[in-house]
Amino acid sequence: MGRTVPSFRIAEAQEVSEWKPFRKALPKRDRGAFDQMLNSARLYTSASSAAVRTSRFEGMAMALVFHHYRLLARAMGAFSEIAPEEDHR
Amino acid sequence: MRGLILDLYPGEPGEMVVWLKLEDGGTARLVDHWSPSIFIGAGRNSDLGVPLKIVGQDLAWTRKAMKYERVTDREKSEVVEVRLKDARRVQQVAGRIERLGPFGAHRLYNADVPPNQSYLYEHDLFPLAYCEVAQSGDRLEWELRDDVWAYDYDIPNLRKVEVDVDIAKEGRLARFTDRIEAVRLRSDGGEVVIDGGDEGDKLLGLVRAVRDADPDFITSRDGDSFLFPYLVRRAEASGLAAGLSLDREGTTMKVPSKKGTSYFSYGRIHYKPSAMKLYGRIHIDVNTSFAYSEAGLEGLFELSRICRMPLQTSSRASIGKALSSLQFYHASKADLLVPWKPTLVEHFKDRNELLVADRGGFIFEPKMGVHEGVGELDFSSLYPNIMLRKNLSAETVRCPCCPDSKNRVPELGWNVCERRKGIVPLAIKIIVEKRLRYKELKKEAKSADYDRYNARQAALKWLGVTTFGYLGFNNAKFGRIDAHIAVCAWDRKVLLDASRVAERRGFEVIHGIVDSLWVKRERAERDDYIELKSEIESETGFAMSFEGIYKWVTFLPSKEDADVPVLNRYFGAYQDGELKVRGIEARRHDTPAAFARCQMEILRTLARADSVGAARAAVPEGMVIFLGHAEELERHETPASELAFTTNLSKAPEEYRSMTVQHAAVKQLVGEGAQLHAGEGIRYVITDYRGRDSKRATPADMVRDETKYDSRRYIELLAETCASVLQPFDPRCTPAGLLSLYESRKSVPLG
Repeated sequence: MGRTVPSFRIAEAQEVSEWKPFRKALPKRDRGAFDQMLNSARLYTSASSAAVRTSRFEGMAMALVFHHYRLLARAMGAFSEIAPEEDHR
Repeated sequence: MRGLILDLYPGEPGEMVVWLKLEDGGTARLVDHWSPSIFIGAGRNSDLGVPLKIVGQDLAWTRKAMKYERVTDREKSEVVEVRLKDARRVQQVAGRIERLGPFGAHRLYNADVPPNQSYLYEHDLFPLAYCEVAQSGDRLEWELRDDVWAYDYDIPNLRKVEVDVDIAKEGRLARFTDRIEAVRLRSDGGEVVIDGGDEGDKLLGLVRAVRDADPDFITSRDGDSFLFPYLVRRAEASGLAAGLSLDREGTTMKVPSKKGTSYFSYGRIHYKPSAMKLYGRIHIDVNTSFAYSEAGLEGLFELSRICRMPLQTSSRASIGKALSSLQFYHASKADLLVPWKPTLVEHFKDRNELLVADRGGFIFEPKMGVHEGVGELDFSSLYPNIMLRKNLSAETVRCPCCPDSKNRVPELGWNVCERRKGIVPLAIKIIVEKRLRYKELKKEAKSADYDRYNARQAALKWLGVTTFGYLGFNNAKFGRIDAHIAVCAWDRKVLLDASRVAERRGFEVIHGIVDSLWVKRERAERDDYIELKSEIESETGFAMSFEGIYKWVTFLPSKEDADVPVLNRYFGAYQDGELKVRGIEARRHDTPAAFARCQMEILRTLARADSVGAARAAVPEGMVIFLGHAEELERHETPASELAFTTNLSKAPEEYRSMTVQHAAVKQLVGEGAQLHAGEGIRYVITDYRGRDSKRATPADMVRDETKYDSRRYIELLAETCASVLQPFDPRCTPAGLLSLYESRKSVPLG
């Protein structure tokens, strides 16, 4: 008995670790941004876990897309305040 | 005759010895003609003649019995009850039968239920139960005048003595070859010091003093792992081995032939020494007793009573073992046999179902940073209540008898039995209900009563926590992962429902973990939170407690990665100034006492602040506290004893390769003759962190007045500890920032 499926938190850490070769191939100046991007998925670990996907990357990818959508929406909102007359859609 | 059941154990073959603590303060040794049974199940056509022949001289009698063999059985089946003559030979006999054929040829039951526990179950008794007993021939006739459900029982007239020994150490560590300098016996009446004459005189003095004091309890520090074996060795060296007896039977004290064991639990290695039990008197090694360390004697009493486990056993047992005993009692009452080697497997699940099922409780990632006006709401004993109210047990989840049950597991849709109560809910009822009552009682109680109720509820809390873990533990007799999974599924539903209610009422969920929610709404007052609590309770059906509103609370990021939140590292101050601290150094058992003290001093300073802004303004005061402690370290004014790190060895001493500070301490201990095992705890002080040899650290027991700790390293570590609580309020208070602040205050470099 005991757990058969690793928790999403552990699975996510494994997934991040498996992207190390990708990270290594990036220019040094981009590696920090890459780490930051992957870390942003961890802000939604519970939601990714609740989604129960067979591929752990799917849960992570949705978290990343969603996080970036939120940032973008916030940026658009801020931009609209500065330049309200433009159509920023 | 009336009294409390103090101790019981198998005596001569066919005998159970019971010690009664009488009302006049005296004790009585009673003997009941009794021995335990094991049960054998076999195929319909199997011949039980062979196994019974194997039992041979150990057999008292046999008879056919109708019992439930498996916890999932709906009907009783015929088994053979084998009553043995000698309770001490049960497992040997069971082993002989098992080896007769392939695994499962003879199904053996109740073979590893300790005989004294079987006696208690069979007679519906429990330790410290107040009873009336009469001798009828060679049998005892019991009349229970107590109730295991009682809340206000009193345990009077128990005499306690603490035994300690001053050792004339020849080396830096005490060894079995060192002589006794003095023996000390401490009790409420004061301290008796036996230091006259030679070593033999001191040992005989100890035996006499214990006999005269006639205590019911002897407590010791490391009595199992060192002190009592040491006394045995010294008695042997003095030619007095046969005279060393500290129990009421006059039994010569011996070192058990069975060695201690290392075991793995929740990611850590632990070590359990062999028990040095006494007969008719209770020996508690306070350093190895989980129940005693968590809940004191009162907690131990409650645990022993509820779980029907003798005091010396429960003081050494894991909470899981105690819980098993409670389940065995309910099994025996329900005619359910306890499998020697359980074979219950989980229900088949395909990959998709497994992915949905095999998940833990729900967690909302904390919103990192400092927050103001956050309220905390906790579900009361949520997991035990889920098991009790939803009837979750190995045999009830996905039972074959109720496919259309209305009681279904969320997300998974599994049916749960509606026809019978599961063994786990049966056992847990007393834990949940008594704990709730004790918590109510302690609210109105004062001083001694408060302490008593608090200790009892603390013991029950651990039992409740363990019940959930045992549902998924592969060695549990009545566990099955499906029931464990069902509890988690219910938890996820309850916490999600609770958060939806909170959001509906305009609250933002700041953090949520398993059974606790931290929520916030601008200008929300206590009444708003109470209303929220009521609505969550009515929507989920589970009771909550409102813990309070924080003046400020901070949820910390991971130490490795500042962008990533961690679930269980936070601290905050309630409106009444009370601090809640989780996961940081001050709460960790391995943190040196001086560091914990410094961190708590800073936290108490911050806790005086009524807002986040005021806490930020208090940061300089925190810095001053850090600087003061750092200066004390540099001047070596902090005692080395307060700087000891504690760790459990993750491997045997010979398996260490690189010279870590832990290895340095281990090497010195082994060099002094200490026998260390994986899982054993050691304490050490860092003496030369940047060195490369075994002088990097010194074991705490070998620290002398002249030992110089590595103050530079300790100041670095102190800066990390203080940064944990200051940095959330001032980003400049990083470990490096605090160190540089300290350096700037000094004219000479650290050394």
